[in-house]
Amino acid sequence: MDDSRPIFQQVADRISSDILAGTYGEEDQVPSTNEIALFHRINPATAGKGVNTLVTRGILYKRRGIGMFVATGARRILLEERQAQFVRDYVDPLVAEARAIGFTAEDALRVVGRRLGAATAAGEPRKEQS
Amino acid sequence: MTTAATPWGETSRVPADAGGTEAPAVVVRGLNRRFGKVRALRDVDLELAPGRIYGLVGRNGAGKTTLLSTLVGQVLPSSGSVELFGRRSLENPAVLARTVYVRDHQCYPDDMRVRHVLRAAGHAYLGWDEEFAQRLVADFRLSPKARCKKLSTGQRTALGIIVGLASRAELTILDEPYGGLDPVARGLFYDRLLEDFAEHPRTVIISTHLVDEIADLLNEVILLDDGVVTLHESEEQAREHAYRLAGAERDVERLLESTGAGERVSRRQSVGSMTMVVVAAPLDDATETLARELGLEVEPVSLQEVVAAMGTLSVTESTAQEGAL
Amino acid sequence: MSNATAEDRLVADGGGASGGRTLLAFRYYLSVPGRLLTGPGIVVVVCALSLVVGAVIVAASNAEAADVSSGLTYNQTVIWWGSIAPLAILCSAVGQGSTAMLGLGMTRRNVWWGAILYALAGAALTATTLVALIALERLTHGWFMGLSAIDIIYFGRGSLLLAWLIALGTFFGAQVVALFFTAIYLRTGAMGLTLSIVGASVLLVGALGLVIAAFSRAERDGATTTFVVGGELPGGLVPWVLGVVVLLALGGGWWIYRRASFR
Repeated sequence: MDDSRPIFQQVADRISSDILAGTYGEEDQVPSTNEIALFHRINPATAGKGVNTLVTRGILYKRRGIGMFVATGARRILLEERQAQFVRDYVDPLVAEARAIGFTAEDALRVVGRRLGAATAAGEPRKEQS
Repeated sequence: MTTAATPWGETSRVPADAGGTEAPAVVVRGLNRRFGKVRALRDVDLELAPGRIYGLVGRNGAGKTTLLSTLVGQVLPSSGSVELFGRRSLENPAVLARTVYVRDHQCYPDDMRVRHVLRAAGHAYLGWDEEFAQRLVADFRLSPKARCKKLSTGQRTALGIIVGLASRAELTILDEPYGGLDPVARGLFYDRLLEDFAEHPRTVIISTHLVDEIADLLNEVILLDDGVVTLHESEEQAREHAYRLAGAERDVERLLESTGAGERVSRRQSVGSMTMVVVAAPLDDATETLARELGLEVEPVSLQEVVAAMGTLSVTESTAQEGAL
Repeated sequence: MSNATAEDRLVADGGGASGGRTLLAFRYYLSVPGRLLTGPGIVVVVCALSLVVGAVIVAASNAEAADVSSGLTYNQTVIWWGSIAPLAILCSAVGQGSTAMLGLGMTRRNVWWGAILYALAGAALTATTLVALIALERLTHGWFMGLSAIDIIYFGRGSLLLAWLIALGTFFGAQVVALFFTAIYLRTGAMGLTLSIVGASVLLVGALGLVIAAFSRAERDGATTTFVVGGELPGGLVPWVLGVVVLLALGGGWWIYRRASFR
């Protein structure tokens, strides 16, 4: 856990990443808040808050007395969210940086295209670093 | 014992009447304590909810131990009141029986050994878990036969942690449970505390000046500065009381000047023409926008930095006031 | 069962009534096994040593056992050590253990009266051991050597019940007075303790002066003084005066201790 973002958000992001990476499939059970709290050495309430943000977004749902499960369609929701984020988090800074170092639109697109091609050829879309 | 849904949407074992309706674990009103001319506590008001972990932070001499000692009546208040579980705590056996308070460097009679301390603590609590205590003794590698007098600082701290955790008291107060503990033992403490807290929720107050290590464990932070509670908020909110600003010195100065944040700078560091400042104030939108325009980096700071920032400022403020008088 | 349920709390409150919690403090003092046996142990050891010393003197000096014995009846070692060792242990248990006991949820009332209870129990055990030894000494006619090691003048050399009461009063009173000073130390610190000891010494010297004055007045008047032997009070004046001192120490100690702050 780092200081740059609230911890509950980091918890939510971590679970999201794991769902996207396929660690938890749809309808799989995710660890309990207490397990999450212990794993990250954080307060159970903070872990719970992280999990709850995912419940509100329809990514997790609760089965009373059993625990938290990945909702059907969770992957799709997450992908859509991430795609929206992609522009803001990666493309905008990329454009700014490209301008700063004097890349034309063509240069930038060519480099990005080459990279994307390489990743696809390797058969594995690059997973986001957590 | 019933199973109840906790606010974070999962089932766990909590006392039947836990939740909003239960009396606060601690209510402090207008608490003052003087030692001669020193005002160790000044008009402290505090309300702590049951089932949460509180961090009492502040610099050495801020009054942390005095406040904790006053909660359980070991230090008598000069004025003001303390209620635990809705009842006056002073010399009230029914209320105090539900508390445990372990001091920093807790002192024991010379002839007592570790196992005597544990035996006595076991007698004192209905909820005492002997198995848990023995497991902790093994975890911390304490010798039950060792004389308390001969324990190292770290071993003494460990013994205090064992008494504090295994008693499972509804109000568990640990004063500086870090003294002499190495990082491994501290990690052990955090793990065991969280494990046991998850199973048996209770009100835990931990005082410390090592804020960062424990920040993530806390529900709420109470900052004590020179006998005054200057902050009592959730850990997340508390962190919003300061931010870090970095960039070209010229731009940083311009921002500080135009937003008036210059008065709130608690720390400043420069390398060449680059400057980093910590501002002890919440980050407002205008400042953030301006910072972005100027190409400055704006970052949240750690809780430790917030505490340091607020501590530094209030000290300079009070000296400024004294100077003005 | 570890989480406190409503029922548990009722039990805790019931057990939390002051009396029950005072017994808890008493148990805390007893949590070091053998602590309570210090007094009896010392009585036995002192008795044995006195016998050895007496026997050595008889053997070395060709003195009559009866003479050595009558010398031994003035021996007060057992009174001093039977008082001092247990009171030192109890005072350190209260002085160093108060915050630990209060930390376990006991009240000052529990800690103080628990200590008094412990002092009483210890004194009773010590007195009983002593009286048992006196009885044994009488039965064996001075340990088969005609030596009085423990049946000393201080304990009356008469009724065993009287000896028991004197021993109980002495050992208990010594601990209570020591606890009184411990309370002063805990309430006011080292300076207050020093001042109170100086004050107590002045009082003691004054009291001695009064006694001496009474003696000399009695000599001059050629009268039997009620002041010294207290003819009008059963048992004489001295035990009554000491009894009042102990009671004052008991109540005064509590009055001081209950307002102590533990920083």
